[in-house]
Amino acid sequence: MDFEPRIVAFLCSWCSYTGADLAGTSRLQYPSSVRVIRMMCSGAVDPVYVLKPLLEGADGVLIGGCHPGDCHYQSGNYKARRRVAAVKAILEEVGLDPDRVWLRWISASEGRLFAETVREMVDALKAKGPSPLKGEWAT
Amino acid sequence: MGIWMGANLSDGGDSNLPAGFPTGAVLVVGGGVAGMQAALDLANGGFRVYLIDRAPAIGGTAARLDKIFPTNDCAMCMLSPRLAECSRHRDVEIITGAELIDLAGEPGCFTARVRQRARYVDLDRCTACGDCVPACPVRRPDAFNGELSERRAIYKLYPQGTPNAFAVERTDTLPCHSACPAGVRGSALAALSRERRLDDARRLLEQDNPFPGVCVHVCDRPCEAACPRGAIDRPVALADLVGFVAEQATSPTTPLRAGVRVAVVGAGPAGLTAAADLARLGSAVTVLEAAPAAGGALRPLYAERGAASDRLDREIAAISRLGVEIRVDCPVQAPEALLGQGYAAVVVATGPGASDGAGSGNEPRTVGRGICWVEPAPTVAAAIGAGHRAAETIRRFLAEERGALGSGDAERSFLRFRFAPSDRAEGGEGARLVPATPALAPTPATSASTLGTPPVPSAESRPDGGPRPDPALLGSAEASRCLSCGGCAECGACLEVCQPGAVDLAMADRELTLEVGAVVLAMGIEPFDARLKGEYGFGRYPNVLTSLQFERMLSASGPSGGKLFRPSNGAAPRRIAFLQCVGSRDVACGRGYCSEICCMFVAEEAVIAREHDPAVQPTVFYLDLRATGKGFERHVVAAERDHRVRYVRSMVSTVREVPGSRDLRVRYVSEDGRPAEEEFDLVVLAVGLGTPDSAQELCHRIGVEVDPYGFTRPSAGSPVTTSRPGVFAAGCAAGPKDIPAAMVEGSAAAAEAARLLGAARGTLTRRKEYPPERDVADEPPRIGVFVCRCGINIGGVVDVPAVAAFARQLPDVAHAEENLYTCSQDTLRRIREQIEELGLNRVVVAACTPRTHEPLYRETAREAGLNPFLAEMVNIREQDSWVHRSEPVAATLKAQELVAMAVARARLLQPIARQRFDVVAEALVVGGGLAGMTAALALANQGFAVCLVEREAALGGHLRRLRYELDGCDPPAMLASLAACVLGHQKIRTFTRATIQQLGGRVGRFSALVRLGGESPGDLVVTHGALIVAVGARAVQPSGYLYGEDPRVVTQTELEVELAAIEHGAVAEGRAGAPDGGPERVVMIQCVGSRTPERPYCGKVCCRQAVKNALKLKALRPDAEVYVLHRDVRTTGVLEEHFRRAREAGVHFLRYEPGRPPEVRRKGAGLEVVAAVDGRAEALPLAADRVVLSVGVAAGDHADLAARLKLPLTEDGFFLEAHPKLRPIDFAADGVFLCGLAHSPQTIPDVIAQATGAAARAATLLSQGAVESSGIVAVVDDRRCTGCGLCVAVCAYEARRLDEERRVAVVEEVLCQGCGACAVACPSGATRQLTLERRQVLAMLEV
Repeated sequence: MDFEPRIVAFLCSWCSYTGADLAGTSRLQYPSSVRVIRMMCSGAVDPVYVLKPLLEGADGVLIGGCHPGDCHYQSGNYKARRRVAAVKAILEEVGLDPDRVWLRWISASEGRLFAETVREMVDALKAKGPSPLKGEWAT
Repeated sequence: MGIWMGANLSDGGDSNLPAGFPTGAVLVVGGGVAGMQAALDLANGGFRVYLIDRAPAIGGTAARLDKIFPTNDCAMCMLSPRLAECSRHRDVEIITGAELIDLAGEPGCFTARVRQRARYVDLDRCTACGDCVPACPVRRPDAFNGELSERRAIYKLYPQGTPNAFAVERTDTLPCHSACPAGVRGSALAALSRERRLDDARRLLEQDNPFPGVCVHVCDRPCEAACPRGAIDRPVALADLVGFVAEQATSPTTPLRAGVRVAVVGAGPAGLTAAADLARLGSAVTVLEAAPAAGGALRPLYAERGAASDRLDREIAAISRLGVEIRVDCPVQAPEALLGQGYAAVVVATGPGASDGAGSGNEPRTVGRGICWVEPAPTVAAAIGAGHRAAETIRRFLAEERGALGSGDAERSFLRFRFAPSDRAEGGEGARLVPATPALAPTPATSASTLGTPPVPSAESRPDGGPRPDPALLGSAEASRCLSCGGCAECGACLEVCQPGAVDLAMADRELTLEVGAVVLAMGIEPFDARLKGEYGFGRYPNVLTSLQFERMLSASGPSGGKLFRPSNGAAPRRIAFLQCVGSRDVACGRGYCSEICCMFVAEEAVIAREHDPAVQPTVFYLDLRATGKGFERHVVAAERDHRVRYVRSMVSTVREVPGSRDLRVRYVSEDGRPAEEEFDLVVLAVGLGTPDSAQELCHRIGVEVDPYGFTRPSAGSPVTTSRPGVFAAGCAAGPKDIPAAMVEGSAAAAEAARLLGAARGTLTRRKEYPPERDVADEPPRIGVFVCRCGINIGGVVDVPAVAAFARQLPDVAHAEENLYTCSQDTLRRIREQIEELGLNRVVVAACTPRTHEPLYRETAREAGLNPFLAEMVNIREQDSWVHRSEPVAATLKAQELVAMAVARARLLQPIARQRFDVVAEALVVGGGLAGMTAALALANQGFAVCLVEREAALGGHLRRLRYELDGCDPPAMLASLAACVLGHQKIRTFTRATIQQLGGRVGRFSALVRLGGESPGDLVVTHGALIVAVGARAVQPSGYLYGEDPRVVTQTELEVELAAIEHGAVAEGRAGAPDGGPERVVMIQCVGSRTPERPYCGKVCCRQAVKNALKLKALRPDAEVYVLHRDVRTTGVLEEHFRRAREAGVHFLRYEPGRPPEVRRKGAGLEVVAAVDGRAEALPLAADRVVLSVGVAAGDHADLAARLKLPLTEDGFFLEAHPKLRPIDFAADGVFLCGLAHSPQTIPDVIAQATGAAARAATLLSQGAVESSGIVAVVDDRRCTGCGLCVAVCAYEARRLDEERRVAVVEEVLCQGCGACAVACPSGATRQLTLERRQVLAMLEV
């Protein structure tokens, strides 16, 4: 079955969001099923923000932050890394696929990487198929 | 004694200074990117700025661009926030249509005389509604669109034009109008007829000439003699046109309300004309005629024309219908007596034979109180003119007597245009009034009354012998021949439709006197006139365009809305040729310099053209590909490799049109020397940059020297100074350059002006007042959604109306609309109005990226009395329309969902009160090379304290290795003087052998841990308000080419040291210029370590260094054989002259292919370089006794430092600025600035300009005293806080601590950076990150 996976992306304002903008100014094309929420820092992504969309039927959640060492807030991306690891453990625990959550480092100059990341994630999620929770709770 | 005297003199001098010296205001001439940048930096730095521009709107050439290289960003998107900031800035006064006439005084206190041309539209009244545009019948070629389209005489320069108001294009004289003794507005008749507005034309003609029926037959057509069209082919047949219009049905006239009673004695042409004018002005006119019939001298003339007397009666009847009472058989003996009979004024127009004693002369005279005697006129037309003048004389008299003649409205609407030009020309005396025509030349004596029968044109021929135009075509084809040479034809149609009454054709030019302390010249560029290169056919072949025309064609707001077309037939072009260097690098046409930007914009235009239409096949004909700036090399490489732009290295000899198809045959010599020919659908000429004549004249007027090309061309040591102290130059006024360089110079000029005027900072500024903030806490959300089309940028992909309609039905949305450009001034005003009128309390703008535009909409909300944090943006351009171009349906759906998410969040937005934080008035400059020292001095000389930190033991950086320069600059002397100034400056603390270990704090109060090495090691904490990064770069370490193996293989810098030593020795021994055994056969190899896969960028300085050293070699030893093996000679700008000089001196420049680099080998005792050059297959062996490698510039090893400073690097390892065009020397992080080689490879003048510019940027912050918090901070709800301390542990800024007494966590707002980590860490939900609260994010996820 071919479907367009729904992805929610949390991007840090300084690196990944700027990179996503650069993908735009470079007119790099990528799948349209990603919805970006601009955060000040990847370290501000609450685990709830990741779990809620997954439980409600989103096919994947992408978190984009500055490369290690580049965090505008010194160490927010490390915090994000720890939290994502915790979220994945929870997902595993409750029987959901932890690989539906991606954490990627995308800098302000990596518009191409952002576009590629979305493409890759869409392909990977297509291979997995729709979220098992999609039919149950999502509209 | 001497000391004392000096002190006394100095004291005396000070006390003689005028009060308020220096003046804390600056005049900026030119509102392009450089001028705007200078204006904003100065205004933000505490100075009052007058920004003047010749055009009716600021923006300069950048406003005409579609996209900007190398990022292919939308030019308007880059520009509009600047335009808006300039127009909203309380300390920037924009004066359009203005020119600097004279500049008197001294640096620090100049008096500038500025002449502002009348705009004819009142800026305060114009709402830019555009109703006037369809009313205007005049069509003019639209110069803004490269004359690819037409506009009206009343126009807005471009949609986002600032100030946001229309203007009337109008010259001082309309030739036909001025020539007509009766004052008939010929061009207006032509314009109205062409638009098939014959009713309007007829009404206009009636006003100007009540007797057209006979007048055209007895007139000798001075209008046609004056028509400039006659110089091209033949004049417009205006008199025939008058006859044609006169034949049209008369529109019904309603008599105006009778006002003051006026008597006219004599019902001849003059009397009846005066009567008609006065009636139109609203007075009750009575004409008294002694004869039994009205008409006077007209009656026999009509009779001569045969059977036309009923025509005369009809024309007289039309005058009666205006409310004029005509009494015949009514002789008047004593006109003066009429004044006693209830008439307020009397016109006496009794024609020849009447004796009045008024003396001779052509002009009407007012004798006594209220009597105007009309002189007999030689022709009917002159008599009608005299009648108009008499009416005007009476109007003036009565206006003085009692304020108005009749109905005030009637008078205004009639007079505002009818008499406007004469109002402008005359000196105040009623007697000199001429109706709508400047000084009348005496009419040639060919009239009926003096010479009997007038020359009656025959039916077939015109007076000039030409054929009569076909009467059927008069109203259309013939009228269309009018060039509308004077612009506005004074028909007055715009006056009638302008609801706010903004159009005012009586507006006069004015002169302003401005007291300023300094002047910044930024007059910008004028593209080369491609007609001067006749061999390319521009101006003759419609399908040959200039690059600026093509840019307009690509633009969404251009003549075709972004669609490519061939002007000859409108078809889509496929094969497009771009010709480089048209009017650049061409001594024959007076352009000996390289225009610097053409290689780049051609690559951009070719790529964008393919983006518009993938079928386009662009071919670029070029000489050298010059991509020297940051990111440029990647841009041109991508154009060729990824976008299939074909590059042909050749000079095109001719372009010829193919008859029939109108295709263009391009003839050139291919690189292997064979003549070639190719056909194209469209040819685009990359026209070079020059200075406008007006700019050169201005420089001449105010005593600023210019070079032969008209550039102010400053010295290398101070790139923004001019020959006149206190006057600075920025942008292309100083030489050709790209947008970021122009902006950097704008900042640098601001720094230089501020250095001069530092003492007056803040003395003339004004404060911005915002309306009191509306308390919306208890109101239910009322959200306004504004969806931007961004021309076709969004609207071309996303169904914007559908998004607006979707938004309208979302909860709490009170209003949703679409805008063409939401960021334009009129839309911003509209948003403010909607907030006020509809009581909106949240604003959502769906447009481009919030990174650039969110501040604009927050400010807009604030101006409408809302807390700025109640405005929210949705990115539907960078992250939607631009990245899903082929999926309009999905992109629209995405836009709708993103808007829904933003609305969901906007419902929960709360006002945020911002705190103010102090700013430490000291800067930290990292790096003590040319950039760092220059920046430090620029700041210190403005009065700010500076801490300069250099890693090495000595100041100077790369400058220490340079020995001489091309443009008279002496690097060792420059280094010595800079270092001495820095080390001796009271305001500068210099630390060498020092490094930055750690950086903390915030904008306005950073804190750096500096580790001192050397003799007294230790750590030092430097607290500072701003940080300038000037850490430089390094030279590429070459490998191969026998470098390091053979001492005769050296780098350019090593050769420079050697040559300087030889020269020094020769000078010392008194034999300068004599051969002395230095290298005789030299081969230079360019691009060693540049433009390679591992370093895909240009070293920029290496071509310059090669030319410099080659010239030095030739100077030292004229018989030296010098070969330069290059890939492209990149001597940009005026450096091109040195390249030419080198060729003239016999230096050989040979090109090699990157795939076949030259080989260096030992041959016998010498060296040999083998290279395949200039497209030849066989390799050329060159004997050499010195091989010189032009090594590029590599980024320094700054990864560690960048990490410590928390600053980003580019892929190439240079520091990454906030935006390559918009903010070229700012970092994204507030309060941190960038300059010098740490930014990118660049030349000495560029580095100085950047460093000075960075100082100006820092000064705007340091001069503030305080900054406001971003508002995005964490707050704690004490009731929920359990005092667990997790937030304290996660905070990286020590902005968190536990209040031990209350057992709650608190936030130091000054230190809080708003990252949000604590909010996630808080287990009790007591911490919220403002603007990104959990419930807000969760609401977005609900959508």
